[in-house]
Order: sequence, then C-alpha cells, then structure tokens
Amino acid sequence: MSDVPLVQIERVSKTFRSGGGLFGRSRALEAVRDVSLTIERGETLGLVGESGSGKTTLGRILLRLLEPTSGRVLFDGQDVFALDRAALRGLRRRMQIVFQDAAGSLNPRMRVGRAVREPLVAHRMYHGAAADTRVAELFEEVGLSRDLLDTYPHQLSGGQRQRVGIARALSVRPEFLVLDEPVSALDVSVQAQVLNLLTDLRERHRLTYLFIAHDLAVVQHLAERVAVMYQGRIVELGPREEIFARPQHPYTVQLLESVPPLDSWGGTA
Amino acid sequence: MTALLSVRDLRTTFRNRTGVIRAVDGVSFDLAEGETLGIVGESGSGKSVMAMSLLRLIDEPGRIEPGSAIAYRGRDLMALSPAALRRIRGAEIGMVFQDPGASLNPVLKVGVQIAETIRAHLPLTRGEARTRAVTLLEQVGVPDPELRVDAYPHELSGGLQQRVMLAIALSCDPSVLIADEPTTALDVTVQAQILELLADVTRRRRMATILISHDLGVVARLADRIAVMYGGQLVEHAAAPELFAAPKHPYTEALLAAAPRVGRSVERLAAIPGSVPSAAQWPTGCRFHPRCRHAWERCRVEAPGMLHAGTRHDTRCWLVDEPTRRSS
Repeated sequence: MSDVPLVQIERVSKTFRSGGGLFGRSRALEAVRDVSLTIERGETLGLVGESGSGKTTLGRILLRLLEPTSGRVLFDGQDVFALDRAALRGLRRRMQIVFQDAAGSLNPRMRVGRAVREPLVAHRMYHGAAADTRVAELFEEVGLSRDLLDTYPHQLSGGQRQRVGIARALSVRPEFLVLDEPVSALDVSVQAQVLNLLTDLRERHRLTYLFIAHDLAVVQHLAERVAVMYQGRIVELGPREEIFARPQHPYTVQLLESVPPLDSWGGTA
Repeated sequence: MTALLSVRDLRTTFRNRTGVIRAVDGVSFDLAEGETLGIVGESGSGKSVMAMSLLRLIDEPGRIEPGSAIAYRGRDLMALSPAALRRIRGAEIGMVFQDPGASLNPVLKVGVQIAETIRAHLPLTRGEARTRAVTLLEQVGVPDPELRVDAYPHELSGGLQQRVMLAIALSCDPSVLIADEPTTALDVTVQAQILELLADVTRRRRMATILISHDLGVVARLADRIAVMYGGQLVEHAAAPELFAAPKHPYTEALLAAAPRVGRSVERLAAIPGSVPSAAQWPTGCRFHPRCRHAWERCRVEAPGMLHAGTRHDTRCWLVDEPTRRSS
C-alpha cells in the first residue's frame, strides 16, 4: 500500500452548457468550481450541500461518469482521465457507487439476485456455481434473506432495495464507494438500519467512502471529515467535530441552524 | 371547548383484485380553533390518505367507510352534497401538498391561479382578485409580488412555488389549513424558511393547522399537539413537549432514538428492526408488535385501543395496563 491518498481531486471544474436554441443565447452553468480535495485510505469524507450545489456532479466526475471541464482526478496515484480502456476497466472495479434511488438504478425486469450477479460476471471474477455462492454470501452480508434472490425490485421495500444496491456495489470487492444520498429516500426507522450496515461494511472491508448528502445529521455518523459545498465550491472543510462545534462559513452556520431540532419544540410555548 | 374539526373512527379502504387495503383504520381526533396538530408517520402509515379523506378527496377504488364521522363546525362533512363540499374546500379548509411543482398548473401564470381560487369562492372582479393575489404573495414573503404575479410556475424556485401554493390555500381566509409534507421536497435552508412562514401565518390569522410530516423535527417546530400514526392508526397523541420528553408508545420512543441528530454522533444508531407493515395485511394484535422490543403474548393476539397514559396523553399500547412488562 502506498502513501498517496486514495483519491486526489485537483482543481476540478465542470461547466454545463445549455440552451442556444431558437430564442435564447446559450447559458453556462458552473456546477463545480475549482474544487480540490483528497480522501485518505479508509477515511469517510462527508460531502454536504443542497440541491444544485454540485455535490452529485463532483461524485460522478470521480468515477469518470462525467468529464471535468478542467482539473484532474487521481485514484491511487493514477490520472483517472488518462487511462486506456483496459486500465479503466480495472479501475471501475475498484470504485463503485450507491445511488439514492435504488428503484431507479435497478433494472425492474431483472431478478435482484441476477442484478447482484451481473457485475461479478462482467468483471470475470466468478462463474457458474461460484458466482451463485458469492451472490448468496453478499445477500447475507447486507442482511437480506436468500428467499429474496428471485424477487423483482418492485416486490421489495425501499430499505431492501437499497441493500440490493449496496450488495451490487460490493460484489466486485471495491476499495472506494461513492454513496450518493444513500438513505435520503428511506424512512427514519430504516435509515438507521442502512447507516449501521454501511458502518459495519466499512470496518469489515476497510472501505473508503465519499458520503454525499444534503443532511448534516446523517453524514456525521460516518464521516470523519466533512466538506460543505455551496454553489459549486467547497466553502468549508474540516474534522466533523470542528464543523459542528465551530462552523466558520456563514452558509455552514445557516445549514446547521436549519436542521429541525428534536430536543426542543416550537408550538405556542 | 368545542372542536372546529372533529374526526371519529375514520376508515378509508381501497379494494383491488386481491382484497381490501385498510389504509386508514379508525382514526379519531379533535382540532380546536387556532391550534396546530402535528401528525407524524412513516410512508405507508396512512397519513396522506387520512389528510385526503378529511376533505373527501378519495376516488374509486378508494372509499371512506360508513360509520366514519368528520364534522366541521358541527356540520357533518360526510353528509354534504358535492356542491356544498366544494364550498368548504378552499374557502373554509385550505390545503398545501408536498410537491408544488405537480400541484400548480404549468401553463397558467401564478397570479391567475390564485385569482381563480378567490373567484370560485368570493364575489370579486378579475381586477380585484388580482390585487388580492398580489397582497397574498406579499404576505407569504414572495419578493417583488407585482412582478411575480405574472410569472409561470417554472420561473420560480421550489421555495417560491411552495409560497405560491400557500398563497392559494390562504386566499379565501380558511379557518383550517391542512399541510401535507409541505417542506419535504425543499432544501433544508428553504424548509426552515417555509416552516417559519407557516408558523407566522397561522399565528397571525389564528388558523387551526394540521401539519403532516414523516419528520418529527419538522412537526416539533410548529405543533402544539402531536399524533403519531402507524399502521393506519394513531398510536400516540400528546402535547408536543410531553411527547418528546416522555413518549409512551414504543414506536414513538424508537422513532426518537433512530433519528440522527446534529451534534450527537454515536457509533451505532438505534435502528428499528424490520420494516413498515403493509396495509394489505396488518399484523394481528398490536400492529407494531413484530418490531417492538417489549412485545409479549397479549400484544400478538389482542389489539389495544387508545388508552389514557396521562392528562390528554393517549397511547395505543398494553404497557399502560401492564407497566411491569417493559423490558429494560
């Protein structure tokens, strides 16, 4: 294992162009502006921001699902955007993503057991009976009954679907997971189950996480460091305790104050 | 004290090929003038169907079962003709829903949509209704209301769209406002602004409000009393401070423990095992018993009713009868 951070983001910017049709001039949207970040091995970095802040765009760029307008991303010291196809394939196995909406990211007509098996076969890691055994292990690992192997996504609850999404991401033994709002669509009682699962998996497999969320309260349970993103820029970055106890940027302060308190109440009192 | 809105044994069912879905199964509560009642429940708890049922906005194959009683100022809403019901909706009881983008008509200017509601209920001219629309937009904190009155919904942010929805709901000075997840689709900072606005508007107008949310924190900000919904029923009902300080139902306790809180980081969250049951087949006995850490034999077979756990504090739990059964 080398000393370089697992993920290095160097001055990444991403501009989307839109319009330019019959009536309007083309408009440029600077979704990510000059962002630099590093994520150490085994670390969980929380990336917090509201919709439109650029956090999802940044996550996609890390996985080379989007090309940055400028800047570069290094994974384990390698420039992600300079890799040839064969090298990229190897890289894709090492970094995976879990989406907010497991229902939208799973094929509705594919049994969930097969959905988890697919990446194993695609990466030529397992075949035949060995693949079946591995899928069964993965189901057990994420707390899903094997009885569910042959069900379709719509037959599962939101929490179960998210577990399938996690099993699928884990199947190829990645080192790095981008968790893009992994519990935002779940009910509170189920949210806690999935957050606990993510904590266990991180320890068991020494995973590195980029945990993207709009909710500071959710991020704090996993993230050792938190980056706050606002209008495409990182406006604050620091250890979790620092951010919560002594937020520096006015936007972070506002974000913290906006979280509904559970220990006090409004009402007419 | 007579209730402004009184609901007794409300049952709403949906029939499909496979059977009957009891989405709302015996809900009773009173809403007093000027009071804010928070209703908290997870998805599948029946809270939104309950809100729609209050205004009889349930279409086939859904139906509000006979025996359900909804009285507004003593008038039986279940017995009203469709025309009489329409006069009450909007004029007496206003509603705000989760997704303003889906509730607003995309091809009509927002001012027209507000004026439309006003003119459906009040004898005003087009010009007068427009003036009133501008005033309303100003009251709900829309900047430059004279300009925004001519905006189309897509030209407004989610927060502004929700303010427009609130302006429509307030347009005829209703006595009751039903807000179903009014801030769920919004960003945290915008959510805080809208909640503040709701609190302000309802206080100034002395409006009674039913605030429905999956988020205890949201409800905590505004509600005088809170009712917790689970499995199509209310399982706990108490004054807001008391509910947070001394919850009696194991589900409420678990919900409070499971919620991640800013500044209180723990190694493991107290998760509630299992998942929300399906309305197609509620568990026998107490509907929470499969997930409850205190459950014993009685809970599996005998369904508890709402039991008194204190002054104006009710809970649907056998622990009230047998407190020694509580496991530590």
